[in-house]
Amino acid sequence: MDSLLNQASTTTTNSTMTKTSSPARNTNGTANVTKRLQSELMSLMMSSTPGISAFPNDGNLLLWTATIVGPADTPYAGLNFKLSFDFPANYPYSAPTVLFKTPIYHPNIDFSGRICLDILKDKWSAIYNVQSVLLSLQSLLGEPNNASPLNGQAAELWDKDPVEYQRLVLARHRDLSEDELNNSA
Amino acid sequence: MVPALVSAFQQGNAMHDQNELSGVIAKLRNKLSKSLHPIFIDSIPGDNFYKGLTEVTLRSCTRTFRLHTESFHEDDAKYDIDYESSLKLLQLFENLRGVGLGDGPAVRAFARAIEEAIVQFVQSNWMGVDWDDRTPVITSLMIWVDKALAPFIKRAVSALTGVANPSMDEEVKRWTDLAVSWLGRSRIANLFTYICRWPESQGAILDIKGYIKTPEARKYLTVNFQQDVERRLLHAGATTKHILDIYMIIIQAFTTIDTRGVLLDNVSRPIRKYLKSRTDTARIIIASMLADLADESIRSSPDVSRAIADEMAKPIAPASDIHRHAPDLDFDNMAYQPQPTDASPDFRRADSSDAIAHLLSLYDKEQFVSVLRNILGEHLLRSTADVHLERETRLLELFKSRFGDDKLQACDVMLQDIANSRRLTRKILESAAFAHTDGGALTAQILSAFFWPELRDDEFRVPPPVQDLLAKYAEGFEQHQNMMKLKWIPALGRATVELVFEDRVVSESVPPWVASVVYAFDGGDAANPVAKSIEQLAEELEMEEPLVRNAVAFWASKQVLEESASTPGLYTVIEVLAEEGTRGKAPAAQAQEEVSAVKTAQDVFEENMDTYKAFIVAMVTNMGSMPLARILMMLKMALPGGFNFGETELRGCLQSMVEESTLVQNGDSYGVKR
Repeated sequence: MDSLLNQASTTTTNSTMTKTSSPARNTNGTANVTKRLQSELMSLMMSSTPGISAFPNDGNLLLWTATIVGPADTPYAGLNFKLSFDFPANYPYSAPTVLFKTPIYHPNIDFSGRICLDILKDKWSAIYNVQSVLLSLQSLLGEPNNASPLNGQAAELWDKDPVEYQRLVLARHRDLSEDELNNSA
Repeated sequence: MVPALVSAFQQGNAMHDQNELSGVIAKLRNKLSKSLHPIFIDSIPGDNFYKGLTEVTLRSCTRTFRLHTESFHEDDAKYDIDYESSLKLLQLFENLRGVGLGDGPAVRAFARAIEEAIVQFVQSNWMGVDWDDRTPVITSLMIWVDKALAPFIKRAVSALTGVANPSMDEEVKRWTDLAVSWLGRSRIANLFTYICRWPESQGAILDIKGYIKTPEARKYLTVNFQQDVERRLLHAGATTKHILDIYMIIIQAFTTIDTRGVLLDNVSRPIRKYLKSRTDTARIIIASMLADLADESIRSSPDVSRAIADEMAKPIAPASDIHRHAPDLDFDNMAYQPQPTDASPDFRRADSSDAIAHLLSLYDKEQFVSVLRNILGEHLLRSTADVHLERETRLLELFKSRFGDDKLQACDVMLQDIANSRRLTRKILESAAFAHTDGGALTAQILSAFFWPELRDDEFRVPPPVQDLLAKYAEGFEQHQNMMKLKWIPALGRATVELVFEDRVVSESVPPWVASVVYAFDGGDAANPVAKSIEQLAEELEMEEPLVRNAVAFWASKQVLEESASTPGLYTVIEVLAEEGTRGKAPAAQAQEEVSAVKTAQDVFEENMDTYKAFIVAMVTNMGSMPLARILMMLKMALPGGFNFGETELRGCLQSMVEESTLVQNGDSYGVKR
């Protein structure tokens, strides 16, 4: 009886693979980043965590647009926030530059969308990925770090006057138009 | 008129000199004819005269040049003319001149008639396509104009005008051009037919070559042929194989008439565009390249283009690198020629005239390579142990020389896999573990899954004896290959089954699942046969029901199994074949037998549909709604391994998402539902 068998593709010590150089063994730096980002994208697509989503922009895998839906029971509940991810060439060894594109009123985010979050700065580690960053940001919305605010007024109001805080959040929030989305792309 | 005559007589009377008299008479006659001829001209209706004379002259020409003759056995006969008819015409012309009708309308009528005669000559049997010798007739046409037509015209013109030896070089040249262009046009009108009858029609094609010397002629050829092609070839009724065959001939024929390839480029554009729109083009091209012409069954296969297979049998012409990459930067190229003027802006000079290059430029490299991978995979899996893989290696080398080594790495590995598995199988079977078993019956192919196209991976249970063999084989493999593990893909195999019944022996080569199903009926006898239902089989063999049905239908068609008459749905073995009756009703379920080893593009698409949908949702969530084309482009970029489908498939996917109301459609744009 004829039959066919299959070598597990994960065995990189495979004799056939060592004879011909595997396409994965491309030492080029950008190729590594691309590969890593592609696998991150794949796992992000497959896991489909509710409330967060991200996708690369046209023709450039190093620039992504992400969307966070404000978590329930926070002043941001139900609001959509767009973010931009700019990955450095040595990603994941340095953190991506993450900015809020949608105007947001938050103690740790300034009016140009810059974010004060330790894991995006000195606490960055290669084990973080787009998904974990997005989840951290989502929880940051509900639990701001009022000890080191970028927006002092917001930090103050968070505890003192939740109603006024909520008003300012809604006043500042504005969904981006299609044009703005496409231009940021 | 009368006063003029009288005055002439008066003058005549006044002079008595004899010498002067004859001069006077001549003068008189001259004057008379001068006055008389206009009367004739005026008195006959000009239009009718012109038409009548044209008709008469043409009829006479038809006889003179024997345009309607059926007998043309002697080759030089076409240069001979029928003198009697020509003399009659000349006589007529002399007479016309005698009464002053030789100028004006008569010359025009004659010219008109000659023109028509040339057309008729070109269309006559004399200028028929030379199907036997495959030589052009255009030279003999030129000789005919020179030897037969020109002298006749000269005599006729001198008869009409009275000029003894008119110099007509200019005119003869014009007649020649006219004749050639009529020949060219009549050939172009039938060009598509000639293309279909290539290579017997080579003569006709070469006639065209003599014609297309001017830009107008080339334009005429392009436009007319394109129309013909659109009408007669590029329609839904033509098979892709047929179109490819014709395209191959067009490539050959047009390279013959225009070596620079501009005409071919212009003419083949619609064909190429059409071929690209057909889904099976790339598959047929590759399959034809791999086809073995010696195999009779392949010749008649609808998926194999003969012309391509023939072309592949020729030696490969290596394409030179410099010319291909930067033809205009090669300063040492002494044969440099500027781009032809009638080329389209994106015309690329074809550096080799071989037709394969044209075919391979039809698609992107990647598209071809992925099709090649699929077909090669299927082909290799089907190949039996004694094939030497020469054709496959050759094809791969051809692709490498066109596309570069790096693109074809996977195919390299596939070929290598097959070669390695043979060696390894021999080694393992010789080893101690197989010493006491019938190991020779097992051959295995070890594939590096990473490099192969997606394969069928239906799981099911194989018969225990085979399972034992496989286990032993795997053990041997692990010893030889550094403890690497094997994963068996039972669905891809091929099994030879011999079934011994009380009254007959059935021997078949079948896919493993078919073998497994029939093995499940082992053990009964004529009195007490094993009976099983489809569901039981599916459960017992852990096999999907469609496969079980396929297998049962196959064995039923071979009269091995039958549905029990008492309990429908239960199948039993036909241990003893009934004399007659059953023999007649063997169902024709065999057609289902061939199940492809490699997953089709459609299978892959449906399998990955959920992934694609997740990507599309994320895409439009983050970047706003976007048109189909942009979604397609983004998918190609973002998906690992690319998105190897076109707009049609994507549109279907998007539509289903709109129906599931995950997306909303707005014109050609798709966006996320808010």
